[in-house]
Amino acid sequence: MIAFMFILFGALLVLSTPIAIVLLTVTGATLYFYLGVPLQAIVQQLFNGMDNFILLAIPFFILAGSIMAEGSISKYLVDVMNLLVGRFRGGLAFASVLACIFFAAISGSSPATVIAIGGIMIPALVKSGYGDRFSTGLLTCAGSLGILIPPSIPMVLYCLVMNASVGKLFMAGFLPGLLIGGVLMLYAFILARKHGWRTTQDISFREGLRLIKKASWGLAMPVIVLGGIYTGIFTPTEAAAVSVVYAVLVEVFIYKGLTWSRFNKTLKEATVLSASLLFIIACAMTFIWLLTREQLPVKAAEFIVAHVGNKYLFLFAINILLLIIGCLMDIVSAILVLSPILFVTLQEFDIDLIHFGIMMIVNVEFGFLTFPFGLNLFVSMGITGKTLTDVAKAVMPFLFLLLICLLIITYVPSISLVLPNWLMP
Amino acid sequence: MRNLWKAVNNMEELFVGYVLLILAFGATWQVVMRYGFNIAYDWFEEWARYLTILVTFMGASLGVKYGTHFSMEALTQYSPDWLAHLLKVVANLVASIIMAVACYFAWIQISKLARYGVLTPATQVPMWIPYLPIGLFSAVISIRFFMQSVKHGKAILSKEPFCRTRGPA
Repeated sequence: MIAFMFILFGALLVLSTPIAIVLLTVTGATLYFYLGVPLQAIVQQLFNGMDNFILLAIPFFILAGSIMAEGSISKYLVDVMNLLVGRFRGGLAFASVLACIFFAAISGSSPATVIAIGGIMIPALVKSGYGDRFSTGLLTCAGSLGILIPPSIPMVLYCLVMNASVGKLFMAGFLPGLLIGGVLMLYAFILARKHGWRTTQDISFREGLRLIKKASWGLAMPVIVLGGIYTGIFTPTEAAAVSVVYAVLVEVFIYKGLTWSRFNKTLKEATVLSASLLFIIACAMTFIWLLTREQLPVKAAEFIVAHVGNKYLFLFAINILLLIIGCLMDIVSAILVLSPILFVTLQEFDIDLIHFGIMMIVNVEFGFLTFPFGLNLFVSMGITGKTLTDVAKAVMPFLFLLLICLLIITYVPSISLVLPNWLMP
Repeated sequence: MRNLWKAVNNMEELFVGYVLLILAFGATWQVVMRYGFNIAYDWFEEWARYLTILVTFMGASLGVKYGTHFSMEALTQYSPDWLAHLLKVVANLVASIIMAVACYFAWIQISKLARYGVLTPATQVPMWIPYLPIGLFSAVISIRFFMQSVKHGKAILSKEPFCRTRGPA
């Protein structure tokens, strides 16, 4: 049965069948041919899988991210970050990374962060004499922080399939996100010293105050959304809903940067994208039900523990596997399928679910940046007009930096766990 | 006629979007009422969950139209145009069949729930109603996958180049 599932899964994937359909077909065929279960069970599981309030957080975060990426919040955020660090050597690059970190704290999406900040900062960096390739690579990579710094859409998905705490995983993403942001800024500083990149800017105190005042609506957002979750005022799903309402009110009625026709277009695109993701989840939940019913995670754990000596080797192997998968298919779907299979193995090796979740999310970042299917590469192509190969080449040095960070995050669990263990014991 | 069809399509897309938007405003209102006035609406969470099912299946049918469903394109990316189209013909046909099967069993489930008079826990509405989007839109998804299959079949015959760009994602 396992061989049948494996072969059918691989064959349908290679055919370029949509991943949701692959999951549904494998589940249906296994139930019908091997287990003799009436196929009505599929419909029940599709329904049960979707009958969960936390799922709504995903379309809400996508919608809020899209509205803010289309609107003016990102522009004002960039102005403030530039005001804070722009005067230093390589300051515009620092401002870019900080703006990505800040935007990541109000949006849960990596491509939305690249669109919002990259759309403004890549041309600005190039104009200020920062290298073309460096500017594209930096923003494409820093945009991926959108999913590591909370809120984060893939984190909600991981928690859904692993039954983990969304609040804890969100909290665990802070320090790894800042680590990666710090490494990117350090690299920018070294290059800025080498090439003498400096932006001369002269902003008066009054002008600075005006910029901060203008950006205050955007600056207040993480305090409202994340503060609301951690003070227990609202659940992560409600936080996502609040961020949509806040984004609509600020962008449409206060900043007035979004016309109704553009708003409707954004709404349509965000909805179709959300539904594609939700449909994968519905089908994945059906597949996960089958896995659990047949105790496949237990069998996988027995096999892995017998063949992989220790947890360090296991974590290394998972990282390699995910890096390869990220080059072949949509990494978020891969995580939806792989994580539940590995659930029992994690218990056997005594690996913390939250730590493993953060490691998975950093791997998703890689998946967003690797040739030829990385979503961020496509977004940067759209912004810069470069070819996919050129963007992929620009990202290469940053991938190396991200790899170092991934290894640190994998083998030093306390980076991920110190905050949730301290603040949410 | 073409304009009418375009308007219907536009309405379909906007409907799903505005359902989501209303849910977001509803959930925010729920927070305000809970913390401001200690009032909680039990029915909201139940119907929000059921409307998520509607958004998922209705939106997924739109996703077929726009090609936003994620798939592994490693082979289609590097194969000749005719082979890429052929792979898509088979892939979409498989998808159409499995969704037709899902549709068939969804209607069996809906009729069973209606026959036994099962009600939803909070609002006591017939349980077959929340199942309805699965039955309706799995049919639409199946038809749209079939149309995609036909489109790629025609493209082989007319030697059309294979479009290798991704959707709006």
